Amino acid sequence: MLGKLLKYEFQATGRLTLIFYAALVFMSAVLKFGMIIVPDHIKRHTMFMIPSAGIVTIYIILFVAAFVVTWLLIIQRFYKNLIQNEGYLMHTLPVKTWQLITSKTITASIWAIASIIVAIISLEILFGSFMDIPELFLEIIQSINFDMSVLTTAGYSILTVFIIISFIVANILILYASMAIGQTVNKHKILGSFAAYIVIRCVLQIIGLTFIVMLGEMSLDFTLFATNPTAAVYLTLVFILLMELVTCAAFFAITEYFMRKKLNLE
Amino acid sequence: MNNDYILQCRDLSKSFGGRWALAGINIDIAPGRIVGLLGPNGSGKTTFIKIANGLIVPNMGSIKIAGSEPGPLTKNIVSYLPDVDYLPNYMNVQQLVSMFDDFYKDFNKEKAFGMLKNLDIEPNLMLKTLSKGTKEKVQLILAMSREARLYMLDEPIGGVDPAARDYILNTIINNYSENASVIISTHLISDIEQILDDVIFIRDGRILLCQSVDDIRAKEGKSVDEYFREVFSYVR
Repeated sequence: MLGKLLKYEFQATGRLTLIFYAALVFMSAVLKFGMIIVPDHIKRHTMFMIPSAGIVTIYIILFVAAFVVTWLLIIQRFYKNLIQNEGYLMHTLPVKTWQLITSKTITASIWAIASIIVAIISLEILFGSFMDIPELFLEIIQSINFDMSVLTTAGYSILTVFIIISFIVANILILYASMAIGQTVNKHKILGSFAAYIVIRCVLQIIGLTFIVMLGEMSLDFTLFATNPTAAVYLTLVFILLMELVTCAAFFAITEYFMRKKLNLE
Repeated sequence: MNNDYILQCRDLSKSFGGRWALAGINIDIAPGRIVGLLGPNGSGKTTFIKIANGLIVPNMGSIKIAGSEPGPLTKNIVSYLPDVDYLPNYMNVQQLVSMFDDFYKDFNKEKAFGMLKNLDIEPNLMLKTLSKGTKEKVQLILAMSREARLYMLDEPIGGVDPAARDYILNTIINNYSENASVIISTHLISDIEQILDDVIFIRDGRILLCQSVDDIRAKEGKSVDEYFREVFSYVR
């Protein structure tokens, strides 16, 4: 059943995202092509600057739009398909609520990650090896005087990738949970969703700050960082990953509960 | 609760912000019956049907379909036709048939295409491009192409022309298997009266009456339509 749901999810959402991502990559290629082909003496001419600035602006708008459209689509797909009229179809299919949520979460995560990859590809096309993002990141870190040789290990990269993915998934589930809670408010579902989202974000902030304060109060032995930076870095990363995973689990549970026990289709 | 009934509910109640849409409903529906759920607007018909399909959770009481509470098990044996435009508009008719076939084990693709052909509906057309009446026909065909044990049709013939109405009513009688039950909620009583076995009159979330059509005709000496007008008269 989950597989079938995934199939329809991709069919429904792919039409928009793939066009957008293709457009962005295409624009990058066009811009790059323009940069190569146009001879220098024309480039310096003031008349050229106007259309070239126009094209660059379009590119920047497309670049930002790729992310905006992806996240708007993630929100709109959940709301339209599970809470508006299509919900009559989805919630009467012989599937469990968690399957409905999971199929959407997986699809949403893939598009969110894809948008990042497409953005990187686009930048690669334009600037080539001139601006390699991980290397740039490393340079910034290396400017801090710290033995960060651990950062080049495979373990670090894998952990970071997992953290980024779980961060994305957590954000998606927080959005879903907000909508799941918001749909319980008769006649004001959207307002309810906004309110829920704001409250959730505030609560998460408070929890996060409480954590930091608590950690500060405990006189922890931070010499670990000096004596064994590798272990310290790994420990921190694993801790962050665990926190993100707990967030994911919590908001999945909240979404599932509200969509199953508090469903309120109008 | 007795497992011989396909649907049973006890003291089913649902409120929406202080107003009780359903106030203690008790219904038993036996297999193989076509039941009309009749009542004015806002009497609770749609709320009852939505609860039976797991789309709304009741405040009080219980409802069981073939012995189970609404969930994936009941959804496998219940075919629901909502009173709204609920199908994804960007899909075409063929894709929708495939989707229903994909998810429902009891869906009969041949029957669906047959009915579409009889009503002159092109399978390649996107739902977006169809008129409201045609969309309703498509929705009804999808619901009736399932070989379900319980059909719940919420206003199935409202937006449809009289010729199509006859076709649809014939479809309903001819297309459901012997032990399946059909619950039809509607205003158009005189049209469907001919196919009903039982009727339930509902008003303000309460059941006024639950009788077989034969009984009403015999005892009251009127058609159900006339009796309905009498019971629900606005004239004081």
